[in-house]
Amino acid sequence: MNKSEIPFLSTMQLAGLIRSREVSPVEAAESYLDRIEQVDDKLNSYITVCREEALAEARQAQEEISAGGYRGPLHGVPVAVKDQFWTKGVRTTNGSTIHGDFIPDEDATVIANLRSAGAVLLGKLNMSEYASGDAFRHPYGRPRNPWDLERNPGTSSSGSGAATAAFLCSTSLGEDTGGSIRGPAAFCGLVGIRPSWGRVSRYGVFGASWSMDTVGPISRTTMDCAVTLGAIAGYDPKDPYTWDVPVPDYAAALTGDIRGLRVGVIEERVNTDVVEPEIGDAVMRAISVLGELGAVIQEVSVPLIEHSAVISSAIIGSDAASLNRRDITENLDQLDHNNQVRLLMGSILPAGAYQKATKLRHLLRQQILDALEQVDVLVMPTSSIPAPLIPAAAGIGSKQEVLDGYAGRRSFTAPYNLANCPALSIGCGFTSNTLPIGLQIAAKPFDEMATFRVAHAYEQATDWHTRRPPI
Amino acid sequence: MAQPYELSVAESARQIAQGALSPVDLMESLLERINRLEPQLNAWVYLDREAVLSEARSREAEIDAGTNLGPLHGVPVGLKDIYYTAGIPTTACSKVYADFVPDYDATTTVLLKQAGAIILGKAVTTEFACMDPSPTVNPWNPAHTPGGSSSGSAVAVASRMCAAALGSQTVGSVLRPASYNGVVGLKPTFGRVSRYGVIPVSWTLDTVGWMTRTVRDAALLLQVMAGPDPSDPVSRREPVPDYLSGLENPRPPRIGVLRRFFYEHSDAETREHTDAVVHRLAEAGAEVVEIDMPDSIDTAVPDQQLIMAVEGANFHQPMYERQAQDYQPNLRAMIQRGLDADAVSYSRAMERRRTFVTDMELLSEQADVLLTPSTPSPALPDITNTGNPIFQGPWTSCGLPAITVPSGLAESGLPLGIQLVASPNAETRLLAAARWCEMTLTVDLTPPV
Repeated sequence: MNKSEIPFLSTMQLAGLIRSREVSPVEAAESYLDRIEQVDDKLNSYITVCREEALAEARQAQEEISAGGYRGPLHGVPVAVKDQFWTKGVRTTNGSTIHGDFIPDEDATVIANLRSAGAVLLGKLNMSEYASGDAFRHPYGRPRNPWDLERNPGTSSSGSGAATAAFLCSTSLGEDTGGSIRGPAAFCGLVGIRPSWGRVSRYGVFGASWSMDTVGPISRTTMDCAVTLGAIAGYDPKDPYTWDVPVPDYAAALTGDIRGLRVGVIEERVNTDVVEPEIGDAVMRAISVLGELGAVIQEVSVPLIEHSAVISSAIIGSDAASLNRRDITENLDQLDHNNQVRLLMGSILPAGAYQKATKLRHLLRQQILDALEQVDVLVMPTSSIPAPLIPAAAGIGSKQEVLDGYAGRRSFTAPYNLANCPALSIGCGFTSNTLPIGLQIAAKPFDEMATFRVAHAYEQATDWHTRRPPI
Repeated sequence: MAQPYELSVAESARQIAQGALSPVDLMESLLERINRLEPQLNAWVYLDREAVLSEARSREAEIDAGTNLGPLHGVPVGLKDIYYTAGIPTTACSKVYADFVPDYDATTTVLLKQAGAIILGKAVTTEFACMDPSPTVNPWNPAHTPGGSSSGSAVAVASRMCAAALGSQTVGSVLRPASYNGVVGLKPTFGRVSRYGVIPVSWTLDTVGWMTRTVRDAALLLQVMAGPDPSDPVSRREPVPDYLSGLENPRPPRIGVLRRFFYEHSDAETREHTDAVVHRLAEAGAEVVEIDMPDSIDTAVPDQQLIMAVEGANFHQPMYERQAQDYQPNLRAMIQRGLDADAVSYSRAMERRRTFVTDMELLSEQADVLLTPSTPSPALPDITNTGNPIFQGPWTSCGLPAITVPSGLAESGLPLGIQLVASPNAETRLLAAARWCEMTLTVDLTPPV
């Protein structure tokens, strides 16, 4: 196989070739490193490229595999991770200048898990400062969307979306507090999952909100996403919030058969003016496909879902202010303007407001769990709009802009952070100006499997995932 | 022969069901007892003698006609005055709610009635189930606090004015007064019993519970009231198991004794008493292990106080802005503290609490039940406060089920108790262990009134 073609393989295809020794891990790593060198100037998807380390890891993987020690589907596969995850000996910036010189002396648990699966770490991916979707300034370069360089690849795991879509890594990790995995997945035409709270360790991950942060993969296919999650998930004694629930073999259950599976369409997020018509149409067509595949489609209601963004903002702002209280007093001027505003607002909010938001969160969670008593998965758009243009300046343009923000994308992804349910985004079409559209699939806590099954069956029946961005 | 007022819930119900006891006779016996003791004990805020006698006559007619409504048929039960009762004042013993008459019953009240119980009356609470002492008197010694906030419920059950009364626990308001008065107090798992129609203190902490004189009665009430309630968003969805069958022949439990924190805060007499109780339980066959407390206990108490203040202030704010002067001083201070708190402090408290919950859930798996003294000391000779709730607060904060069982009398003549705690939703295990301890200790306390 021509080396320059390797980056365009799916993770599972590459894994097959590595296992059969038709492609060596070193060739795979070199092919991705070469492509990063050629393309990433336009995208700024990486903050740090670990060329030497990656090649050394690839050589080690190659030796292990040659010696018959094949570890599994990620062995020798080049991956990249958001710069929010601690990597031993490799700078971890959290997207900020404040941590510009921070070199952790240990790996985050998810990084250690990837390493023990044999993955090769290509580098650290760009992100919004402190994983805040609002951040404007990007000290390590403005990440751009491979489908349209004038547009945002989604926040806050911006580099994870851009690099995976542009074939600059085989699969990636992001972190999702209010939609930071699913937003980039939707805007870049990828498969990304925010797992259940407690499914994946957060040890060694810079936090944004203690009650909402989750770590998960962004990949090009459902199978790749399932395999990546399988490698990082599980109980971690170092993270008191992880649950001791066995990790199923996600990939093994992806048969493409979803006959009889009950799909609930959330009426408040489908029959609404907030969703751009092209997106609404694409999602309705995707739902028809699920029906043709034998799923049972029904409408369900989650009345509080429209308020998700307001509820989550009140909580995340103060959670972030709590986590970053030292920065507020010592480093405020080093933070992005929008982050300064957000952290200061979070730190002056009265407890009563946060408490009310927590109460509403609880009611919303109950409504979502009630809906999930009737159906196996919930579906709706991942975002009301496609990838937006990169903003021209920091700050707030108008009151309307803020209100639109609350009604729009954030209240599409935030519900599942508030409910601590797994939620996946998969491409389900393109707008007339060829921007990807995301279908969101959510399930009961710890039932990631249901979201993968539906996404995989849909992917088998459609060809959106085969389209390549013009880069 | 025992007077009807002395009977337990289970025994009353059994005799009524068999036609051996008239619900009217039982009611009259209790009303006579109340008439005699209430002037000195102040356990009730509302009691309509004619209405409850009329109810008792209805239960009697039903039984005579062969109709048994359920396991509590004809048994009078008291309610702390924060439980909504349709058409009956529910004042929370506060000027602020002095004129409040709900138009529906709390879910628990509905369930009690469906099981055949008669709502005897509304028992005194400290104002809005908080910290300002109530006028209720400890039947063991009027100079000692009866505890709070469910003071009327505990005193009514201890002094045999009824065999069961509902209370509520936000920090230590069921088990502490139960122990101070020498009765059994049960706080189920957070969310196991509906709170719909109960005036709140703090929505992430409030748990309903009750006082009885036997473990079996506590289990019987749980059987009647446990279960999911769509009207209560924190209600747990798991099906309700059989809580009663495990009480027949309970086996000696594996008991984890917690000394760190609990012994540090106990007086010498309580420590020695608890050691003696543990020794007796071990002699009788219980497997006793010592279990350490994790460091997260150190912040659990102050965090809980902040959470309660913030959430309590949120409920009271509209009334407080109009009539702050109508609140008693401790409650006023709590509301003001909650209004002044910032979200970052609350977020941090909730975050640490989440860690504490995880720690406690893991801890509770190390034994069938955890054991502590029920209170740092017996009820103290001080009626200017309601006693120290810190032995209950941690379990309310992490939502684990807990029960107190009387274990003896102190030098002062006031009761002492042991507190048992189990894993979330493990009430069956908790009650069986408590029943075993009750059978082993054979402590039956009757106050000198």
